[in-house]
Amino acid sequence: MTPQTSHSGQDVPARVLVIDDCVDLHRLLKVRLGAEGYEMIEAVGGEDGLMRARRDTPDVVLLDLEMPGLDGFEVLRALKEDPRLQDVPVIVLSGLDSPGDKVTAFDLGAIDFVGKPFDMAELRARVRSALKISSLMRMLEQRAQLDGLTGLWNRAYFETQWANEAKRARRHDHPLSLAIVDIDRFKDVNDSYGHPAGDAVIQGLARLFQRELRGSDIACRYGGEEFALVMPETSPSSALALCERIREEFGALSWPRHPGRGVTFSCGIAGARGGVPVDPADWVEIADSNLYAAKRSGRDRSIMTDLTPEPGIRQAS
Amino acid sequence: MGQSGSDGPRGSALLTSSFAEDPAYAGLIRRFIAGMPERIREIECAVDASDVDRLRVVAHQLKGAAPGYGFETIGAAAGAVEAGIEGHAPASIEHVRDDVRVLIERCRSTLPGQGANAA
Repeated sequence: MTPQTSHSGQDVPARVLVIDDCVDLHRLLKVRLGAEGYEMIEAVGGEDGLMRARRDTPDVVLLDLEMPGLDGFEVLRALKEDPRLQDVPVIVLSGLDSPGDKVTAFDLGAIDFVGKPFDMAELRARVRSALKISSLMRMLEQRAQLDGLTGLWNRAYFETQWANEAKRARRHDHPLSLAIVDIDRFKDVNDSYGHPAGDAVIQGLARLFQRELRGSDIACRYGGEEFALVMPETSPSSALALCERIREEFGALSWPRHPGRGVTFSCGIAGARGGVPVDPADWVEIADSNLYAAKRSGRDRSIMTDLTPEPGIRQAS
Repeated sequence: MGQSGSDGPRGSALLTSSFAEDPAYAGLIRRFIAGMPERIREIECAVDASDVDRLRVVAHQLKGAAPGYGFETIGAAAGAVEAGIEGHAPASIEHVRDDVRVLIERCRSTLPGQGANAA
């Protein structure tokens, strides 16, 4: 996944989850908000609402406070404690409108509070506003995770995603591979042809990653001329084949600022065909030491370690 | 507010939604009115059983929903019932009997054939 493809869901209608024990209210909101093009999800109580939120991941929640069983405050607390749902904006829609109730709702993380009875035009505007704020927050968050020169994800994003992917692969016993790529003799390029030439090389490699990697792969700029490629559902041998293909393409590129001088990269790969109990940080270290082994053994090559039982080391150049 | 009809007791004019002229609300209002006999029965049952908690829930829901269908006076009457219950501890049906009567009358007056129009 490169940042350019990460918001493919923009044309999907926003999902509005209404958690309220009043059937009349559901019917009203379903028709009147549904007419705005939203996909409406109904939950008639707190427990049901939490279940639907976890299952359907809504874009905004309209939450009643006074409900039998799990009340709105408890639902709000649970939503904000769930890492997958804590950023979903919650508009409290309630007949409880004392200052104390409002303060509690905002302190628990509600983005807005609308008293019942409410004006439909006002509610529609508030839903639009909550969705807009949420979208802007996501955009800001994404920008903070992007590398300015290449448009790839940055190292901070890598750290989070790598830990998540490693955990997921181990839990589901799925393949996962990691490659660390470093441009060979990059300092020479900079010193000989200037920093713009070096930047062009970095950008050229980033474009190759964007073109060659699958949508589910994650390409990050790890450091100056170093990149990390997270490849979920990819065995180490497949990762090696992919990195080798990219390495060959990169080596064959011609650079307008130094047409007579090609550039290569070295690559260290560590992967597993199933979830192996290797700490994510150790996994990175293994890929990194393979990278340096590739450098030491002559550069312009990839070295891979298969971390699944009976590991073996293979070298390609 | 575009509601027509008075807030008076049984025998008053038919109470219509303030959104009656808005085609987007036509089906919604029809269904809301169709559910009115059941709502009235629920209120009467809660009163007969002296079930204050149940009555408060029904009134709370009507207070929140009825204005959304253009029946602001029903919402206000339901709000008075809820406030009457919450204003007494412990509350009893006697504390809100008059407010309940007004609420039931307003609910009934949405039903064709129940108000003065039918008299």
